[in-house]
Formats: sequence, structure tokens, C-alpha cells
Amino acid sequence: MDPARKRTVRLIVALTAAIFLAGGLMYTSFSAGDPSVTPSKLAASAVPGKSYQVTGKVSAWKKQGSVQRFMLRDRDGARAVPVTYDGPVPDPFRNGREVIITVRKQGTAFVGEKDSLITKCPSKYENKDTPA
Amino acid sequence: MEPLIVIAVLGLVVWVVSAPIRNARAGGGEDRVAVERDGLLAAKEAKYREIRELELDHRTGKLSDEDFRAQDRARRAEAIEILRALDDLGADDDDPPAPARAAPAGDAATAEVDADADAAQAVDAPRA
Amino acid sequence: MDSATLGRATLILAFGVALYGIGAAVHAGRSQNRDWAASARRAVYTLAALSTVAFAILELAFLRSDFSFATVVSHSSTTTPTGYKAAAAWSSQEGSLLLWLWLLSLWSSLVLYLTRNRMRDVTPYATAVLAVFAAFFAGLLVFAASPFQTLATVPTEGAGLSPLLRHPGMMIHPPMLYSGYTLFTVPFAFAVAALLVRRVDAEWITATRRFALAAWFFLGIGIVLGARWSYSELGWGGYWAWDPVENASLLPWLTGTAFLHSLMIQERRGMLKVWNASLILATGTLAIMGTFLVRSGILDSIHAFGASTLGTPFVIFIAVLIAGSIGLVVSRRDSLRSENRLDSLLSRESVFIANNLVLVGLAFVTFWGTFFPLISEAATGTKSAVGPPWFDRYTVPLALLLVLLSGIGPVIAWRRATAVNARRNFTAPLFGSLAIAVALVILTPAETRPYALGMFFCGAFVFITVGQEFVRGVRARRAMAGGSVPVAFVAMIRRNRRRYGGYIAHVGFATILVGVAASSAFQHAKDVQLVPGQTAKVNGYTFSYAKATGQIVTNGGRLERIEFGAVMRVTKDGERVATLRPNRGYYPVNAPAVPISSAFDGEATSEVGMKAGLGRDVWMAVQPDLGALRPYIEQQDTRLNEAVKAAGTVNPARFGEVRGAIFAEVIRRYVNNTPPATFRVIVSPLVMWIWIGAFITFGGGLIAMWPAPDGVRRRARGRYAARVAKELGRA
Repeated sequence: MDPARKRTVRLIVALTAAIFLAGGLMYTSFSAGDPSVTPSKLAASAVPGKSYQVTGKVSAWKKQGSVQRFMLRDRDGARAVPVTYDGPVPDPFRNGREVIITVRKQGTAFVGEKDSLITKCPSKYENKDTPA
Repeated sequence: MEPLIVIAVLGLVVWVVSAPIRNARAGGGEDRVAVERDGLLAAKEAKYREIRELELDHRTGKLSDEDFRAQDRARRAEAIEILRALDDLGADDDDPPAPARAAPAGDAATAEVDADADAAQAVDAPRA
Repeated sequence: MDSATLGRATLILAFGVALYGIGAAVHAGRSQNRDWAASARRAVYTLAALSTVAFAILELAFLRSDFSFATVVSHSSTTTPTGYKAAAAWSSQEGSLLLWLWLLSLWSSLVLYLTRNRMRDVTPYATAVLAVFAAFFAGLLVFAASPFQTLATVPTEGAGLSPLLRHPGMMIHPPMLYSGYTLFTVPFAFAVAALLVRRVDAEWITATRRFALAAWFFLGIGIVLGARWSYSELGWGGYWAWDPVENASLLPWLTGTAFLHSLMIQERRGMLKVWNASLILATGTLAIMGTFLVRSGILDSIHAFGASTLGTPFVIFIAVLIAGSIGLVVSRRDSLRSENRLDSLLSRESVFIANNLVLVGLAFVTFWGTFFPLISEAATGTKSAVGPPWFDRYTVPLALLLVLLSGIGPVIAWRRATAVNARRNFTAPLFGSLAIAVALVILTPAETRPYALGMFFCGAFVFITVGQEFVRGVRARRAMAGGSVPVAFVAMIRRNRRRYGGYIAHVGFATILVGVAASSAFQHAKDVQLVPGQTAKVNGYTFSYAKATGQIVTNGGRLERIEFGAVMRVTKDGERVATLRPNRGYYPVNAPAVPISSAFDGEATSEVGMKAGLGRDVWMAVQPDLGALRPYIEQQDTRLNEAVKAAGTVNPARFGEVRGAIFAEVIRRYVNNTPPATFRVIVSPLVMWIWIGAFITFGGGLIAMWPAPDGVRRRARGRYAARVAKELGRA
């Protein structure tokens, strides 16, 4: 085979491999992704057993032993869903703070998956409570 | 008070920024040559580095004596070509070094092969 | 003198100067007029001076707690310690944009100064691109997010800096990241300029290589500092969560690392021009994207500012960057043709190309996962997100390959390595690392986690190959110049900073990934509820809750926080390992109107109890359950409230005393009759090596970046061959 042809073949093989890998990656991301929803959407359309990544603001937080119970509210405060989460919460967790958590519907409540709760980085709080 | 400061700063800014245009120098004729020369100097620098690395590769056992000799000869021939081209441009990089080095020692571009820092300076010397 | 007005005026001037800089530079580029180029360069210097003044005004306002500034009120307070007051300036959105502009203008000035007499066709356009960046950020600061907004009524106290951010790492984390981002704009600008004038030899790379390296260095340090802070401060024990904003800082770092390797091939061989140009254009765009993600709110990230209005200008700017980059590369593809071909697949060039593919692959995985919510919404209509397991599935094998390649690269020759030599160079490392892997399988449970075992193998391979390189280098040096081993070692590194700095960075990087593999695969974590006297067992360690503690912490005579903690005795096989004292601090608000109970609903900070070691970290955090004390606290609140009402006026000093007494009683009750507390206990091997590895990596980067010593300035006359030999001989 002459060198130019060889290079073309090599290029085609490499590109095919890359396309296959990228395709696999894209395919798995669609099957592995959890729907990312707001609390109101979760309340409206959650299917029991399926997991959802929900972003919302914490309110009515109560602790019972190691179990945390709280409501997750939309940013504009329209709807809220009850969430329970077993395990310690990160430091910035408190009422009014935005968190991201992966939950499954069980009965009327939503149960957080272990270690799936993360809270807004403290450098990015909004300044609503600024004394003006 | 504040408007005065702002106007003063504005005046200063305009004065500083416009200085080169106000004291415009004639021509830019040698620029073409300078551009070409810069390119050749960069090529020379890269070639020298390649030769040095080749030596190091050889000494740390990555190249056989035979391969090294062949490659070293080829690289040196290429370096000679670059030097010749530089001289053809009239860029005598054997000129005495520029009077003063304004740039801090080992600046962003020229540190790796210091000879070239001087060469670049020397090239600019007539203008300095 | 109203400093806010002055600040605003300075920024407007800076914006104007940046716009002028663009115009003058473009004119200089088109007419090849050196005077206009000089004027444009001076515009950038002036911009640096103006943004320095603006930044200084803002810093002064923070240091003096000047509450006429809105941003000072919302991010600082009189009780914030001085060091953190200075850092609070860039914890706000406006302040961080100003920091961006300031750093950008400094680096731009530096590179334009250093290249003032070089590449006269390229630099004007590079000046223009740098001025475009500056104009964009100055424009945002003038029109959208001014740090110099003032308040009509000046409050007496500010909101303060979040206690969680009061950590030395957090003071320098943002400036490090921003330095990295802004430094990447320098090679970006020169790449654009080089493409514009079709001067695509290696010169623009030589001129800006150190800036790319510095960007890589600072961005990397910023990322590691963030990880370290998360590990030691946040009370969850992790250092990386694949959050969009974390990923956004990793993306330019990955493509930048690829660029630092592939640029050597262009410098040396005139190959990969399209690739290098694309890489640095992508890196610059990704750096802006990182800043954008934080401010747009388009992705749900824990690091995003909530309701920011800066999304639109950023989207437009990024769209321009992407479209411009692609357009440039495509329209210049004829000039970007390679001058050479790859000599052999068995060469350092091809290892570098493989390393580039892996790094870009990693960047692609990270990018896809990060932007998946947007991609899935566009494709299917529902927004979905992928979690850490998805990222791990792809990044772990790629990381393995990357480490392996970083071991192969150093021992393979440029151009064409002969099979015999390659065999000779690889035999010892291969058998050495295999022996280590076998030993690990016999001595530890490493075989239960194949990926981790694979990483240990690859890591060992890197350590041995690089070690072998150092030994041979020292030997060669001694054979040539004599001297003792240490002298030869130092001389060798000094003479070949790029090469050996790079090798050291490889060792450091392998160390980091070995630490990551060990600590994530063999971590034992457990959440337990204990009362004093009880014990818990995690991975052979026994944790006994000896007693509960509580104390009031004052700062400058004022009550700062109330701490509840635990004394934990940690033993293994009956032997004492450590006594850990994790605690949790609660921050009450110092005002009569605010109920005491609010202290326990508000911000709390964990002080982690940690025994860090070279072999493993024992880590624990506590969350006390204060539910049992609630009734008492609420009762005291009611009483206090009634007393305040009855008295009509409040004597602050007396009120403070009473409050202090109540807090003391709360603590007494907690310590004497301790309710169960939740503990998170983590036993994690080799975490320390992540931080040590980072030191090694960036130490190597520093060596590679360090300017070479001034050499001899002799001039050689003579025939060309002799001249080559002579010029090669010095330095």
C-alpha cells in the first residue's frame, strides 16, 4: 500500500473508533440521566420508583435523629414537595438555601438517595437579606 | 472636585496613549525584513533545542549511536540552512549586542535559548 | 472625596480606553503602522493602570468597611477579620468581574511588553483581541454589574462574609482560578492574531508558551485548593462532586494540558498546526465559559450565582468566540498544512498525540456530562442530569490510559525510536510495576477493585520510568562534567528545565491519581448515632464517644459562635490512634430583636476532627441533635422578649450578658445530659498523597516555567557548522 493510502485508512479507522466511542457515551448518558426537575414539576408528574434530580429551596426543616425532613420549594416559592433524607447534611444546609438532591417517590413523600444531597456553594448566596 | 480629577486623569490617558502617534516615526519599510527575521530566529531557536534534546536522548539511552549520528547530522544541516538564510537577510546576528537589555532577564519568549534573546535585541538595536 | 464616583469614572475610562485599543490595534495591523501599534499597546498599559486604581478603590472600601458601597454591605462587616475583608471583595459577583478585568489587563500588559519588538505583524491583532476581552468585562462592569453602586442610607453594619468561606484556601482560590482563566486568553489572542495574518509558524507559540504554562499552573492550584477546602471544611468528606462549575474549571485545564504537550510538536516539527490552533481557541473559549456558567444560572450548580442577569451578554460573547474560532481555522486551513509527517508510530510525537486524544476525550466526557441537562432538553424535551457514576465510568479508564502514557512519553525518543532501545527502556519499568502490582494483590485487598489496581500499576510504571530517566540523566551529566550526584542532579535540571520539570509534573500527577484511586475505591464511610460512652467500629478502627463538649467562642470581646463538639478516642487493635475533637459552630445574630433560637437555625460550620497520615486519614464530623434543648431555648426567648417589652428600652451591654448566660446554660445542659449526636466517620487511605502530588505537579510546572539563567553573551564568528556547534555549546 502506498503511504498516502495507508494514512487515509488509518484516519478512517481512527475516526470510526472515535465515532463509536462518542456514540456509546451519548447513548449511555441518555439512559443513565435522571430527569432534572423543579419541585412543582416533581409534584405534578413523578412516577414512583424512578429517580429524579430536583433543585429547590429548603423550608420547614426538622431533624429526627439522623433523618432530615424538609420541604423543597420552587425558586419562586409556588409549590413544595416533602423530602426525607437519611444522613448528615452539608454545612451550608438550612432553611431558605438552594439544594440539589436525587429523590425517589415513595407514597406521598420523596426519599433522598444516600449522599446525593448537595448545597449551594457559600460563595454564591444571593443577597436578599441585605440590610439596605 | 471630582470632575476635575476625572478630567485630569482623562487628559493624562489621552496624552500617554497618543504619544507614539504624535511623535510618529517615518516608514515601516524594514518591517517586512524584521518579520521574516523573527521567524528565522524562532526556527533557529527551535532547531537548537531539538539538537540539544537529541543529544540528551542519546545520552540517556533512547537512541542508538547510529541513529543519533544520522539524526544529529541532519539537524545540524538544517540549522546551517537557517543561519545562512538569516545572513542572506542581512540580519547580522554577529553584531555587537544591544547596549542595554530592557526586558527582564529570561522573558517570556527568549529565555530558553538565550543567544536568541540577544539576537532579537541586536536586531532592534538600530532603532533603539 | 467620593471614592465610589471615582471608581465608576475609572471604569468608564477603562472601557473607553479598551475600545480605543481595539480600534488602534486593528488599524495598526491593517496598515502595518508601528506607531499605531505602540499607541494600542499603551492603551492596554493604561487600562491596567486604570483597573488597578478601580480595584484598589474597591479593596480600600472593604478594608475600611465603607458601608456606602452596596457590595461591602452585602459581603463584609466590621467584625469580619481583616484578611477576610480583603478577600470578601472578590466573593461578590461585581468584585469578581473586576478582579477578572484587573488580572486580564496585567497579563495583557506583560505579554505586550515582552513582545513589543517581536512579531510586528502579529502583535497588533493580538493586542486587539486582548482589548476585546477587556472591553467586554469593562462593559459588564460599567453597564450591568457595577461594584461601585452606593446606598442612599448608609447602614451601620454589613451582612458579613459567610463563616464557611473564612478559610485561608478560600482567600486565594478565586484569584488562582481567575489568574488561570485570564492567562489562557494570552495564547488565545496570539493564536487568533497568528491565524489572521497567516503567520502560523511556531513563533506565536514560543512567545506565549510560558503564559499557557502559567495558566495551567494557576488554574490547577485553584482547582486543588477548592478540593482541599471542600474536604476539610464542608463536613461531607468529599473533594470532588462533578458539579458543573467544578467541571467548568477542569475543562480548560484539560485542553490546556493537551496544548502544552502538542505545542512541542509544532515548535519542533511544524506539525499539528490546525490541532494546536483549535486546542488553544477551545481552551480560551472554555475559560470564558467557566466564568459564564457561574453567572448565568442555565445549569443547576451549587456554585452558580442565583439570579444573575449577565447570561445574555456572555452567551453572545461565547457564540462570537466559537463562531470566530471555527471560521478562522477553516479559512486558514491552507496555511496550516503540516511541514512534516510523523516518522514513526514508535516516537515521542505519537505518544504526545495519543496523550492529546485522551485529554481531549476526557474534556469531551466532562463537557457532555456537564451540559447534558441542556443537550437532553434540546433532544428530548426533558431536562436530565447525569451523576458522578456516569462520569466515573468514562473518566476512570481514560485517566488510567493518561497516566500510562505519561510514563511512556519520557523514555521514548523523538522522531523514531528503535525497537531495541524501546525494549531496553521499558523492561525494568514494566517488570518493576508488575512486581508492585503482584505485591499489592498479595498484601492488600487491591484485587477487589480492578480499576484501582490498574491505577497503582500505571502509577508505579510512571515512578519507575521517570526515576530511570533521572538516574540516567545524572549519570550522563557526571560522565560529561563530573561532580557529585546532587550537583549533577541540580545542573541537569537547570540545563533542561522544560524536560525535567515536565517529568516531575508527571510523577506528581501519577501521585494525585494514585491517591484519588485509593481514597475513592477503599474508603470506608459510616454515619452513626452515638451518646457518650458508646462506640462505633469502622474498618477496624474503634471510635469511642468519650464526652460531649460545648463552649462560647468570642472574637474581639464579642460573642462569635457557640460550639458543640465531642471528644472521640480512636483506637485500632487496642492501640491508641488519635483523639479527635470534631465540633459544630452556630452563629447568633447580635441584636435584641432576633430570637436566640435563630442561632441554631442559621449558618453552622463543621470543624472536622481529622488525623491525617501518609497511609490513611481518619476523618470525622459531628452534627449534634439540639432538639431536646429546643423547649428550654424557646422558653428563654419568650421570657427575654417579655422582659424587653416591659422595660421599653434595652441596655445592649446588659442584654448581651443575659444572652451569654442563656447560651452558657444551653451548653451546660447539652454537656451534662447529652442527646445522641450523628457522626460521619470516614477512614480513607492515601488522601494525603493527593495534596502531596499536587505540590509535586505544580513544583514541576514551576521548574518548567522558571526563566533560564542568563547565559554567556559571546558572539561567535566563523563558519556555519562551527557556529552551530559553538552556539549549542553555551548556555
